[in-house]
Amino acid sequence: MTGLVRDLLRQRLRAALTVSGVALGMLTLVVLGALGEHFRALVDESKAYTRGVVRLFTKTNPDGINPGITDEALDAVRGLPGVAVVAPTLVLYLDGFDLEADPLSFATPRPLVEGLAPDHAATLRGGMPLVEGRWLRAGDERHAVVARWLAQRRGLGVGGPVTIRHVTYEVVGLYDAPDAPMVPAAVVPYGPLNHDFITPGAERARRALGELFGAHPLGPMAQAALAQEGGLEEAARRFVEQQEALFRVYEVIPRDRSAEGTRRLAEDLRATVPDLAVIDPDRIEQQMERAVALFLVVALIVTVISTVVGGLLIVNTMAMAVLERRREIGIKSAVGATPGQVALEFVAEAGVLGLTGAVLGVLVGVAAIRLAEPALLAQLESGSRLFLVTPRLVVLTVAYGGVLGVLAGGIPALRAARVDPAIVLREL
Amino acid sequence: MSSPAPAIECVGLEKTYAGPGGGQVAALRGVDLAVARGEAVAITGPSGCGKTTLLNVLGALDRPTAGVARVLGQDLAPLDTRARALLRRTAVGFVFQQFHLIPTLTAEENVALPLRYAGVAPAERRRRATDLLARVGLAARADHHPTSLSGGEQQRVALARALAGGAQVLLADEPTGNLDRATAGEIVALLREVVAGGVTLVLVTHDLDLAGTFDRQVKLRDGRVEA
Ligand SMILES: Nc1ncnc2c1ncn2[C@@H]1O[C@H](COP(=O)(O)OP(=O)(O)OP(=O)(O)O)[C@@H](O)[C@H]1O
Ligand SMILES: [Mg+2]
Repeated sequence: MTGLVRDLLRQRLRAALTVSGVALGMLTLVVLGALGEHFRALVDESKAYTRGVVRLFTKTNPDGINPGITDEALDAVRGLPGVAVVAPTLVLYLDGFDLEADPLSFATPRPLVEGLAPDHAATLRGGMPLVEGRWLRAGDERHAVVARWLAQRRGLGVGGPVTIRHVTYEVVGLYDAPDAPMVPAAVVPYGPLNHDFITPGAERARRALGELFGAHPLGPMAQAALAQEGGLEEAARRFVEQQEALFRVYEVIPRDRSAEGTRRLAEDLRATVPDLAVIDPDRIEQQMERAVALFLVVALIVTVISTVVGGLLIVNTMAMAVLERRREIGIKSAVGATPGQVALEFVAEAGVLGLTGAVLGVLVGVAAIRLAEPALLAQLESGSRLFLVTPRLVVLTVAYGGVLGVLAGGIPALRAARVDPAIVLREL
Repeated sequence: MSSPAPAIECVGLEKTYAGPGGGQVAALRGVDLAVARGEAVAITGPSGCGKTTLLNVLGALDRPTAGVARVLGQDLAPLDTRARALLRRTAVGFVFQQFHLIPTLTAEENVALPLRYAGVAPAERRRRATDLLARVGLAARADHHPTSLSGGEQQRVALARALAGGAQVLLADEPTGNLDRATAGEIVALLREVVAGGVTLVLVTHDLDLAGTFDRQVKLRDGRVEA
C-alpha cells in the first residue's frame, strides 16, 4: 500500500492533474446528486402535506363547460360513509402578485398562504409537526400558523404580527413545513382570506353593474327582482362568489386516513362525483416522482459525461506509467509476480487515483454547496434548502470514483500484464 | 524414492526468436546440458552465442521452442505464464549484470519483493529480508535506496533478493560484468558461500580466469554446447 502511494507520487504533477480532473467530474456528481437528493427528500417530506387528504377540483367537461363544484355534489360527497370532513381551501401567493417588480413571479416558486376551515386545520395539516404555539381553532379570524422557515427568514414569532397579502395577522403557531414548492408557508382561516380575496372582485363587479344599470334605467320588474336579491351590492357580491366557487378546492378527509383508506375514498369520490377532478396523494406523489426521475436522468447523463473525462485521464496516466515502468514490471515478473499480480498493482493505483479524485470532488462539492446555497436561496426567496448531501450520496460518489479508477486502470493494467520480462530485461 | 532429479536437464533445447521482417533467429540450436544439484557451472562463449537466452529459458523467464528443459525435475515446456511466474518465485533466482533493483524501493524492500508476491506477511517479510541482507553483509544499509549504494552493494542486494524465495537454482548472467576486480571477487565469494549451502549455480561470464575456478565450464558457440 505504501509502495502504491510512492509509485503515485513519482509523477506528482501528473497525478495531481489527473486527480483534479476526476475531482471535477465528481464535483458535478455531488452537486447534481445533492440537488437530486433534495428533490427526492421533498417527495418524501411532501407526504406530510399530501397524505390522508383527497382534493377536489373543478374540471371542464367534454362539452367545454366547467360546472364548478355544486352544492349537490358537495352534499353527495358529505353523504359518503368514508368521509370525515369536507372543507374548502384557498391557496394564494402569500405576498400577492407584483408583476411590475417581478414579471416572472408565475415561474419562480414563491411562498404560499392557505386558507383552511380553522376548526379542521389541525386535522388537515397535523401531518406537519407543530413546533411552537397552536394550530388554528374555531373562532380564529386574523390568526396565522406560519412555517418555521418563513418565520426565520422574516423574523416572525408566536404572538407577533405577520403581513399576509397586505393584511396583518397574528402568529399563533409555527410548524415544520417540508420545502416543497406546493406546501404553504402559512395557514390562516378560510373565511377572512377568501373575503379579502374576492372583495376587490366584488367591488369591480359592483361598479360595472352600477355603470350598466345607470346607463340603462331598470324597469319596475327588474328593480323589484334586484331588491329581492338584496340590492345591487349584494347581487354583485354573490356573482363574484359564484365565479370564485368555480376555482375553489375542497379537501376531503377520509375516516380511515391510511394510504389504503385514502385510496379507497378517492375511488368512491370518482364514482360519486365524476364531474370533479379527484386528486389523491398517490397522484401527486407519482407526478413528483416522475419529475424527479426526469431530473435524475438528465443529471445522470451530465454526470457520466463529466466523470468519463476523468476516467480517460486515468487511462492516460496509467498507460504512461506502464510505459515508464516496463523495466520494473520485468523485474517484478522475474522475481515471481504473476501477470495478475502485476495487473492488480496498476488497477489498485488507478483505483486510488479515482478514489482520491472522488474524495476531493466531494470535499470541494460540499464546500461549494455551503458557499453557494444561501445566495441561491436568497434569490429564490422560498424554501430553506436546495441541496441535500446525504451519507448515501457521499458513499456512492466515493465508491463510483474507485470503480471508475479500477475500470480505467483495466486497459493499462492488461498491457502491464503482457510485458515480457525476457524482452524488457534485455533493454538497457 | 529414487535419487532426486538433477537441478537442470536440457536435451536438444532450441530457442528461436522471430526476427524482423518475418525472419528467424535461432539463438539455441539443440543444447544438451545436465547440472547436478549443488553444482556450480560457468558458461562462457562469444557474444551472441545464446548464453543469456539459455539462462532465460532455464529460469522460466522465456519459453523454449523445442527440446526438453527440466528444472528440479519440472518440465518447463508445458508451463503457462502464471506457472512460470510461480516457478521463478520459489525455485530459481536471477542475478543480472545490471542488478535490476527497483529504484523506488529500499534495499530491504527490494529483497522482500519476491516474498510480497508469495503472500508472506509484512512482518515476516521484513524479518527474512533483514536476515538475507545480513548474510550478504549489508545489514547496515537496509533502508538505503539503490541509488545511494555502490555497484557491489547493489549486486549484494540483488543476490539477497534472488535467494529470498528459497531458490534451489541460482542463475547469474555476468554478475560481475559491471564491477571492478576487487568487488567482483567479493560477489564471487558470496556466490560460493551460497553454493556451499547447497544451491545450484549457473553463472555466465566472459572472464575465463573466473570461469576456470568453477567445478565445470560449459562453452557455448552458435547456440550449441561445444564439446
Ligand atoms: N528477443 C529477441 N529477438 C530476436 N533475437 C534475439 C532476441 N533476444 C536475443 N536474440 C538473439 O539471440 C542470439 C543470442 O542472444 P543472447 O543474448 O542469448 O546472447 P549472449 O550469449 O547472452 O550474448 P552476450 O554475451 O553479448 O550477452 C543473438 O543473436 C541475439 O541477437
Ligand atoms: Mg548475454
